[in-house]
Amino acid sequence: MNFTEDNVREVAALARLKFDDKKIASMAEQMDKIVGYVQLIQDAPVDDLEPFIYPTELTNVLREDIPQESLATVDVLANCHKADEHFFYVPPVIE
Amino acid sequence: MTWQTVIGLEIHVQLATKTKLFCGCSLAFGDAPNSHTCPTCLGLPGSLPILNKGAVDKAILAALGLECNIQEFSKFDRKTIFYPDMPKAFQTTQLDLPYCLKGGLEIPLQDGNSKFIELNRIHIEEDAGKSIHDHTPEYSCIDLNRAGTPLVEIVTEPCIETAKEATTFLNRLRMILIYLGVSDCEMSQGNFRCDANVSIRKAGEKLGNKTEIKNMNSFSNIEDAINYEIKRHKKVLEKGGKIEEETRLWDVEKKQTRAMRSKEAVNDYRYFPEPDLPPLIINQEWINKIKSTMVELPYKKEKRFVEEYNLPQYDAEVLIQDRLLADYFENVVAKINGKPKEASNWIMGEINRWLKELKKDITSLGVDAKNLAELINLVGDDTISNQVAKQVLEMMIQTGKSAKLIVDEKGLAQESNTEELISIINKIIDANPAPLEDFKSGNKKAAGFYVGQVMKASKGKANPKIVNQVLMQELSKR
Repeated sequence: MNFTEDNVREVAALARLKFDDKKIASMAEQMDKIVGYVQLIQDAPVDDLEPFIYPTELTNVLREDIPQESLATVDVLANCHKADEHFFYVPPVIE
Repeated sequence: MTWQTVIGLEIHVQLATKTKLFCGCSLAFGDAPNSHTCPTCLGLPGSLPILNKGAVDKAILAALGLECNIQEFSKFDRKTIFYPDMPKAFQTTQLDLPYCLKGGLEIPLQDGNSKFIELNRIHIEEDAGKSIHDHTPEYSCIDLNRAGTPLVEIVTEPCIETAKEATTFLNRLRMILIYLGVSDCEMSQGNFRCDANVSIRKAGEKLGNKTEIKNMNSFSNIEDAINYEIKRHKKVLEKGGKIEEETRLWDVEKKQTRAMRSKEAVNDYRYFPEPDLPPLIINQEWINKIKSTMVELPYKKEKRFVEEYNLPQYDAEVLIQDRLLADYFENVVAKINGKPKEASNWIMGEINRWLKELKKDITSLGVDAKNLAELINLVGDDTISNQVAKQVLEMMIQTGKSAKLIVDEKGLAQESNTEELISIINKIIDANPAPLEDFKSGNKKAAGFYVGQVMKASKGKANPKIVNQVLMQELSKR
């Protein structure tokens, strides 16, 4: 197995996701299959190729530095779990 | 035991654009929270970023000012960050292909030598929003006005050896960026922020473990924090301890650093190419266009002021601190009859004093270059004395009138009419015979009494040089 339960725990922690042990075991199994599937790509001979980053030929899609109207604060905060008239409220971020 | 200090700096500079990096929301410091946001900078599903050309223009300008290698091909990447002030859950930045590599700038050292501080890279990225922790006790409050603000991050090589070198470099860097109009670089508004990576090692050994210091919002904080951290490293290592690689916050009250969080490994950010932004191609034509708008850099100006105007180094250094003031100086010099040093004396002395007192800049003082030149010329041709000129300047600032007009209106021109002066002097000598006797018996200082009296009688308008000449001539006749 290339993708271990520890890998799942690590990625879950980074993504702020919580799983119980049973779920972790099944996730590890599934992730291992997925990673194993794309492992094929690793074997492709690419030494002589330029890295391919973008699937399109587009470059320099730019806009001029001209202000556009922003949303009304009341609309911005409308779907927020908790807010006052100015701010989003989130659980305290303690550093 | 001799330790060698190794310092690298990362400077975040807010670009002076009108709008954000990837959307048309305007940038406004101090406006009502969450009043400058849109689906793109809020990270709402379905929104797409479009790169601000004005931000790239400013970034190119910074690269040119720091003599960097601008990369023709660069791309953007997503840096995963789980903080509520980063609503997309990633920051759009440039990882492996930044728009700019190398470059740097030369700084003077205290021993009179100079040193080239080399840059590693500059990349374009967006700022996060603001978290406010003291608004209510149970929650953190989020303001996303700043989210998506265009920044460049300037990264130096770890080639700085003292805290003083670091601040000298930052000072010069800041001035260049202000000159070029890349950024306002107001540290108090957070648009010029510096983090420092500090480590120590014994000469010849490999780099020691480094700590990153954040939260330094003035040059003196930066110097204090780096020096504190160097001392702390020495103390730990000399006791046989180990320096943990971590981020530390500078506590300005306690004047010490404290651990914030252990430095996340690079992989934790899980960078990947930003699929919503096509690559950025900066060709020579674009670079040339920006180059043609560049103003003279401050340290080239400083050199030129010394060579072209024959100014002392100190004067040149003071005058170039503010680009507007330097331009003002040159405009005054072009209009005065005397030497450039006279203009420099006025600007560094009286003008600077008024700017400080009235908390104004040179464009709002109300004395343009033509008017100051006129005032200096009135002193130069002996129409008014230096002392009176200072009073005239004050009136110019208060009323906005020209120097000539004020001198005419108030009748401040010096009396150079010697015949009238001779008669005044003789009257005064006749009325006060005692100092004359002193003078005759060899006490030359006694003449000072008469000078004072003549000046008083002329209400300061008499030209002191001429008064002295005529007085000596009249006293010797007696």
